[in-house]
Amino acid sequence: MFFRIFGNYLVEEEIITEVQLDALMEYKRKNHVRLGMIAMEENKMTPAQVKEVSRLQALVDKMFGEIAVEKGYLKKEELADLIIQQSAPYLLFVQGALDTKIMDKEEIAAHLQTYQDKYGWTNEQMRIIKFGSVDDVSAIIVETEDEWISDLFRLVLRNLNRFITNDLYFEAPKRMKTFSAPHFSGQEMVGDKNFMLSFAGEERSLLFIAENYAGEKKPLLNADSYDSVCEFINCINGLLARRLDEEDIDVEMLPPKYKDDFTLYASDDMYVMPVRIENMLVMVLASSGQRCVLI
Amino acid sequence: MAKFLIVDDSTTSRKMLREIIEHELGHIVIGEASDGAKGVKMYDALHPDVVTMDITMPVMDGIEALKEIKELNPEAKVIMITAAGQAKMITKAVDLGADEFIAKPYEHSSIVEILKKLAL
Ligand SMILES: [Mg+2]
Repeated sequence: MFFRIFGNYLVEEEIITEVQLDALMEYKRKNHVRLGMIAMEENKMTPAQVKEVSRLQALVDKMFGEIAVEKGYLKKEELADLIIQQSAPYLLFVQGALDTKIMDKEEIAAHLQTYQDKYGWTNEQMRIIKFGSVDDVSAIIVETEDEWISDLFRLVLRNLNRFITNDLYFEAPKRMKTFSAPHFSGQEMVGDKNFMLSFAGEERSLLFIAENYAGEKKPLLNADSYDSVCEFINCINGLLARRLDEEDIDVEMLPPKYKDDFTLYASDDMYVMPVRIENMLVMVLASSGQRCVLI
Repeated sequence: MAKFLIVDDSTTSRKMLREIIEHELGHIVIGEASDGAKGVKMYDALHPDVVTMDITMPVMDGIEALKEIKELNPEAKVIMITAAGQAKMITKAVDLGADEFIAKPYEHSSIVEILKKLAL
């Protein structure tokens, strides 16, 4: 998440270009955080010590951590702690920005501060954005007046991350009365409470979801591809239905629907959350209350 | 080798299940139905060893189809595979004689295990 959140911000502010962000995303796919990088970031080792251990590592067949412990630069517990942090997206971003020479450490720190100020994040929220999973980040970014709708959006993000791609970016959901898009796939749940969950957008973003959910190439957004998107939505709604059930809220899931060139009218407000999956925009629509009309 | 009938309105879901049943478990799928009513008819015509039954489907849902299949053959083996895993629904399906219950989205390994157990 951090790569897209901070990366998109940097592109928006014209601090880096789209091409540079693509290079960073490519870096993310191919690299992991080097232990020396975390050791420096955490002030456990000096740059000179990291250089020395890296040089020794090239000479002897030993791991970086092993040599650093032997040399007395790191304690064993410190090493274990650093290994846990190796999966932190923020650290990989810093390493990537340095390796690709897009920014230096001081610049990253300064831009992070302006980003934090712009969105008014607290230090704790910033820590979640820098080190958290999609679940952690969605817990702070996704907020609506209806806790069930927020839950539903978070389930969408968790399952996009699990089944479709881990290159995700999303913004806070906004209220709307109507919404139009070239392609739409959605499902209603009716009963004690009415819900609607839909994915809308361009052909290629819905196709991307269809392909990755079904695990096969799909050249066209036809009935078969729509079916895959519908089944993915059906599974997400099912997860919400089970949670509703625990609170004794009874809903029935209706068969999903799809449509080209549609407009959705909600008599109560619906929420629209923009999500980027590998940088392709999908609008996730969710509503509760009155049923929606699709034209 | 067991004979399976897949009842699910989603072509994607049917394809995924067929893949697991045929390629990972080495059984055969002798029929696919896209709603409960077709599923009951195909059960009656094909006599499969195991039925996988979705719940949310148009025309006739999986609960009603389960009931009708059990009326045709109380010994029929029916696995409910569905996203709508509400407690009431599960109770109803179990009362009607459902043999297993698998929640979507399923983990590949768990579905393989359950299908293996039932098709033996
Ligand atoms: Mg279904």
